[in-house]
Amino acid sequence: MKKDVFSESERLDIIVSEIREILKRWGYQEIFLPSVVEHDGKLRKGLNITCQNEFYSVNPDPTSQMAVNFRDGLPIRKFYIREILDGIEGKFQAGIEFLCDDPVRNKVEILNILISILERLKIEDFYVDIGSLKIWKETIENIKEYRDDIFTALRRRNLSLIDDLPISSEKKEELWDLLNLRGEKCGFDKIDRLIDLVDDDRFYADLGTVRPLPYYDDIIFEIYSPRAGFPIGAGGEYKLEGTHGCGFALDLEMISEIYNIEEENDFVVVDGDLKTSYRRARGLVEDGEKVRMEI
Amino acid sequence: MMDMSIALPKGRLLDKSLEYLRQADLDLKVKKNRELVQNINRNKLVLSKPSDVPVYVEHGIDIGIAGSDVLEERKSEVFVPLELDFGKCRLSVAVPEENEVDIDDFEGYTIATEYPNLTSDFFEEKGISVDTIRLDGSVEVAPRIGIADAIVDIVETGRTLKANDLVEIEKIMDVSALFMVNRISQKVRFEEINELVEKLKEV
Repeated sequence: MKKDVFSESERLDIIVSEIREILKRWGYQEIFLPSVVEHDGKLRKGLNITCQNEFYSVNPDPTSQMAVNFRDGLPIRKFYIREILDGIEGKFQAGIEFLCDDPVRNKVEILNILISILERLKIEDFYVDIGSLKIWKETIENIKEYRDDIFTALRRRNLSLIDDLPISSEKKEELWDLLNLRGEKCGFDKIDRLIDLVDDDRFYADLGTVRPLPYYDDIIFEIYSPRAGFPIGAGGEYKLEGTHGCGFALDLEMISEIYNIEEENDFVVVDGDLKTSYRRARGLVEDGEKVRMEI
Repeated sequence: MMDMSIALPKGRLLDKSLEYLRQADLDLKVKKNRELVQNINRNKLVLSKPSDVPVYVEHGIDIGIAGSDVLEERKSEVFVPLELDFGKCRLSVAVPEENEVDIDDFEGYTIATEYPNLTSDFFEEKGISVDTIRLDGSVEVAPRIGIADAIVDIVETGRTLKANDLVEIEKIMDVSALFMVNRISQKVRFEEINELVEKLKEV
């Protein structure tokens, strides 16, 4: 079904305004990334094109685009709102990145901002599952020749694939138990401590959260709501030239599906002849009012 | 197991899927009135085209059963905890008997199939450029009427191919039924779904 761009934009306009306001209050600055950039092996997603015998990417993943442009000067607090392309498929996302020297602080800050945004959008029935790629890497250290098969099995929670691996039954059981390790605590200090520091009962330790993306190197998380069939966002931590980064991206179309728009009633309706009504409206706007011109 | 939504494929996998779930104490007595959405013992059963089952599960139906062929073709983002011991067949390339050629000589061929994505991926990986025509059913007829040089289709016993003077020349993938779970349902109904998976594993 083709979407109605105008009505969908009305919803996204409200959602994006709220997100921008919250991020500004947290001291984050919007980053404006060029849509078309020279192709670089470090860029993820995007639509790859050629023009005059040169290779370019259109709207690649912003985190990878920022990584390519990374310069010193910490801390870095940036956010973006744009359509991300994956081939010809596009998805509107709002994302934030925080780079600083303290790998615990950046995760705690990012997750608190996430709560701020979703509560501002009155999406209170959300959950965040936190996992760790490093715990998995350590668990399969002695069977790393099967790493790709194991991560395929983990991504799909595929018990049959694990069963088919030529590894001991104890190891299979360990993998399956770890995949099903989920709760308020998990016994792994780095996850338990993070949940304790964020202090919100919608956060769970879940080792079944596995998204082996190229740049995430340890803690990863997935954001979801029982009202949405897909995750509404995801994020994780990474290292950029030795600096600790953490960020997340929200899927604005999923947010839009579960966001309840409230009619805005705080507009001052202005009417009258063109000259005086617009002069009055201008004065109201200067005074901080919202105006709606009567037609 | 209550208030679960379940997508099952109409056709050859339905009876086996129902029997399989019944053995794990999920008894779905399907009404014979051809209703496509049925409420059974507080569960909601959706009977759909096999190729749509992964899409339903991806978009919010809690669990489903469908072939690995349709899941790979649709590239749906779902969890697949179990590969099942039925619905076994293979996805293969077949050509008319009188024109049996090696797969490496397929350059420029037109291939009729219900699986355009898997077909393109297979030939792309081999570096062979082919055109695909997407057909929904009776694919084996395409070479006979001259609209395709070959087909990519499901082969179970090979009888349908033989009846249409086609010969299987290469297997693309083995196929079996899969038990699928919606990614969010796995999280919000964690205990229930894990319990069901454990029971199904023992069937």
